[in-house]
Amino acid sequence: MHTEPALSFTNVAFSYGGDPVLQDVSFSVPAGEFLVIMGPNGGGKTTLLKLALGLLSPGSGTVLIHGRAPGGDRSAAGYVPQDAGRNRDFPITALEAVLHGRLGAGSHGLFYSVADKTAARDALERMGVESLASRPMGELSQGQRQRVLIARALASEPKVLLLDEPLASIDPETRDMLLTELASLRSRMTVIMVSHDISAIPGRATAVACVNRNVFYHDSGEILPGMFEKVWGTCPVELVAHGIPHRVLAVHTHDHSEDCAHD
Amino acid sequence: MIELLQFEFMRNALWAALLCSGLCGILGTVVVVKRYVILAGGVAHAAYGGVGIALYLGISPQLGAVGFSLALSLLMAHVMLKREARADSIIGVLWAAGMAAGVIFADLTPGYGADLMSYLFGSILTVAKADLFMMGGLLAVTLVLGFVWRRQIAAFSFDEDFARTRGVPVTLLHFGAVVLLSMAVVLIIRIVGLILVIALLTIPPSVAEKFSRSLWSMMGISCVLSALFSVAGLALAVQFNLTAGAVIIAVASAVYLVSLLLPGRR
Repeated sequence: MHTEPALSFTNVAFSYGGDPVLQDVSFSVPAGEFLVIMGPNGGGKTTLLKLALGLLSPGSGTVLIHGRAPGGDRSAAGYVPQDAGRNRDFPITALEAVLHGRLGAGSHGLFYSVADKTAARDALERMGVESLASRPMGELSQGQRQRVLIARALASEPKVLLLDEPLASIDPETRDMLLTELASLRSRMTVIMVSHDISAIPGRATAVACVNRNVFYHDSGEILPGMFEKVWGTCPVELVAHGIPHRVLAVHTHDHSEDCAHD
Repeated sequence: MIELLQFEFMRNALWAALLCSGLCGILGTVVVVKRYVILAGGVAHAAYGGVGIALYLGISPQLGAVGFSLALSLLMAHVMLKREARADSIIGVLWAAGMAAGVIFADLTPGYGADLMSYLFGSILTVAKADLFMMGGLLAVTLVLGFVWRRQIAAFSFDEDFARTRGVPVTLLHFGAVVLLSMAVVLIIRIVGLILVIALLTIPPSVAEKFSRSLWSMMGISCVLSALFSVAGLALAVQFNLTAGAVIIAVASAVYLVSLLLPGRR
């Protein structure tokens, strides 16, 4: 039985005005994984996510999400953007923000249906913030906002949840709870998270991708402790998969002396 | 004051102020939350270029303003959508170039200096019936489109990228908003002039934002505030024989300053 991958990149390249950001990227994420995407700033993590969401189109190659091109109003992807507190003054309640997740999910009339409202409330409840439904977003703490934004993505009933730095600028306790909640979503969907935070991996991630122009995909979520200081000097996955054979799916086409050095 | 309403020009001025408030409240809210302020300024000054060119060519100044503003606003909207790092600089150049074109073409056309002044500061007391119908028509179009697309507009205003992943036609909404905005700016210039149009678009929503829990209440409060500013400004201007556009903005600015001192409800 062939099961279609949740997300697949085939020979994808992308550049911003002639500057290559991603080159020769091929990997595929089976359904049900909790993939953590790591890599240095400017290495192409966010670009990778935007390609998977259809917010950017690849210069060459193919991106498929559950076998279909990303984007469109029936997308399988649920997006949780990076929330750096921008647009804090925007007048909107948590519930209305989550209802935006219902747009395109068959909600084409003039009004949100009862089903839309139920789905939005369920999503808030799943993230433990149903009591904040009628509060303005601007009044919420960073952690609460992040939960509402995850609820918004869940409201669209995605098959793949894609999160961009969801752990940035929230306190450690909230961070641990969020990670546990995200890991528990795995039974229903694939979770793909961009993060700077290598400590998000142990015990939760089932796969790690290291992005620095190329993508190195490792189907193991193990890590040895105490080696954080080396993360950006070498691919963190060298630490994660230390001693464990791991797949390197991208072909090395150029000298990687400053990128991730793999065998 | 009330007895002045027996004059048609005064009734027209009042209608103009109210219709203009509707446009400013709704579109100004979009300008503030989407940070289109520089674009609105660019369109207003581009309109001046259109007026100059129209005078030179001997066609209707209003038509010239609409055409030129629309063309430049679409260009500016395109630059903004591409998220070019220097979008604000490019808009700044178009802004100045539009203005310069207006001045040069006005120079080349003898005898129109006074008419151009009215585009700088507005002339609410000489608003014609035709202007009122155009403003009413634009307000009706804005209300209908705004109602039909309100959920998509809210999503697009709050988080463009997320809205795009949900299949909301972000590009269409962006250009649609800019087209409506540039039409409104050209009409509002008749009331308060191009120098003050940005204030009337941004001050009421900036005050309203503090007290709003949704985009729609922000628009509603903005419309009411804008109407209060316009009518109060008009009354004071008539009473003390001052330039109406400037008094309207003075009232708005005073309320804005006071609102900064008030705690928001949120």
